[in-house]
Amino acid sequence: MKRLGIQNMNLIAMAVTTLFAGYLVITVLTFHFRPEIRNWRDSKSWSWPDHSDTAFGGIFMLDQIDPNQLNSQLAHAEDSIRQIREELKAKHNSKGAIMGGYEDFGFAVILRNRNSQELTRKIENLPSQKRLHDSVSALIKDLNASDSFSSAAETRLHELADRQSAMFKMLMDSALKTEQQDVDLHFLAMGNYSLDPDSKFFIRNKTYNLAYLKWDTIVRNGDTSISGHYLSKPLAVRYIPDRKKILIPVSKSGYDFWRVAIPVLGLLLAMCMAYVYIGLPIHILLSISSGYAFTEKNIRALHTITLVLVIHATLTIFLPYIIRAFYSRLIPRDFELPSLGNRIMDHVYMLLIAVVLLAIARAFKKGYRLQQEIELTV
Amino acid sequence: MPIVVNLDIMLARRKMSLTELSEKVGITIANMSILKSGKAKAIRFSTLEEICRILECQPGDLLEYMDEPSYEKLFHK
Repeated sequence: MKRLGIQNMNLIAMAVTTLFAGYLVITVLTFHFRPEIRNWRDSKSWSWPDHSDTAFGGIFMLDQIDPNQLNSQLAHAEDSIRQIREELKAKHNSKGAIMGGYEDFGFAVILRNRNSQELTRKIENLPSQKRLHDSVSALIKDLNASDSFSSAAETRLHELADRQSAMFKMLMDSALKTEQQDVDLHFLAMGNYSLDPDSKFFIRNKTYNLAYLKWDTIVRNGDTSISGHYLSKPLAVRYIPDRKKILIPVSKSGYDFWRVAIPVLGLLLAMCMAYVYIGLPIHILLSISSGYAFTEKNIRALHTITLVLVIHATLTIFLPYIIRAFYSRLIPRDFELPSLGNRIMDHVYMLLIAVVLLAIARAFKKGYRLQQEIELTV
Repeated sequence: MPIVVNLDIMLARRKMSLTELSEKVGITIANMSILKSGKAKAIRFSTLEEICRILECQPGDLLEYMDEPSYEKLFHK
């Protein structure tokens, strides 16, 4: 460090600051003024699929049936009811019932009930559900047969749809609560994965699937218009949208291992961090208060805190991406982690604290040398 | 540091012990030992003046510069 000289160190500090400021400016400018974003926004017309699209059981449809629909569109109401039921099924299937497990640092093992699909089938086959479904079908048949618009029939249809969905939900909830779980599934869970709003996870026939929007570019008379349609593909993993968690199926032995390993590792890490982030600073404070500021022990402690902070920050920033790379064959690109830039910005304060601590450690080292010189001056 | 303190030579010439010198100069025997063993990083002019006055010698009689190889050879480092 001595060889670098004060002038060179100033230059390095200036260069690092300029690079960081430059990175920020470029990020902001790229986001706002990137030509391809502007061009796509300005020169192309986008059309999302209609919300009345009933693909994949209507999981892309709006939650409610449009009350202003025309008589001729009432046939879609049955799809809407199916959509409500599919949504409920998807909701229950994706949420399931977490029976146990342990979670730490966004990495977890989860034990899940496998019977929700069986429950769904049981509930669908209940006489009351069948009766309601038959009533709706009969009503739609009547409406299609008649030429005139019947607002009373439409209202009745809505009522039936509401009743059916409410009953389904109630039965599903109570059944999930009371059902004895004899067969379980084991998962490794990882958080912070978001899914594009145009993509939906769903379970069908005990398989995990992803329905996603496929954009098609249409060039007509020089104008570019883009329209989309839905496609689906099978997945090897399960997804919980509201928790942004990806669940990777693991064996029972794998689950048992992680169930022990995660809390043990978590406890060890917590103890190490408590020692480094609380114990060492208290030791340094007490030592300074006792009049022994510039000691080798204090310098070592400051260097240790700095090193742990850098490792902590680096792992916090990069670990999700490393784990994702490790499971890249299982997790499709549709599931996105927060961008690396954002993650760095979120944790950059740790690196800044580490830099300040390193500067203090260097100052203590210099102080220690000066103190030694004074002590050895006769 | 290739500055050698020849205090032991001067003490032998004057037939004086380190304890006696430390008492006359007014510094502790521990500090005087540091100076004699060559561990000292610096010496105050006031201390040097006192030692020279008591041992009736010049600073050059007490301090000697050696080049690095000779110094290493002497102290087997």
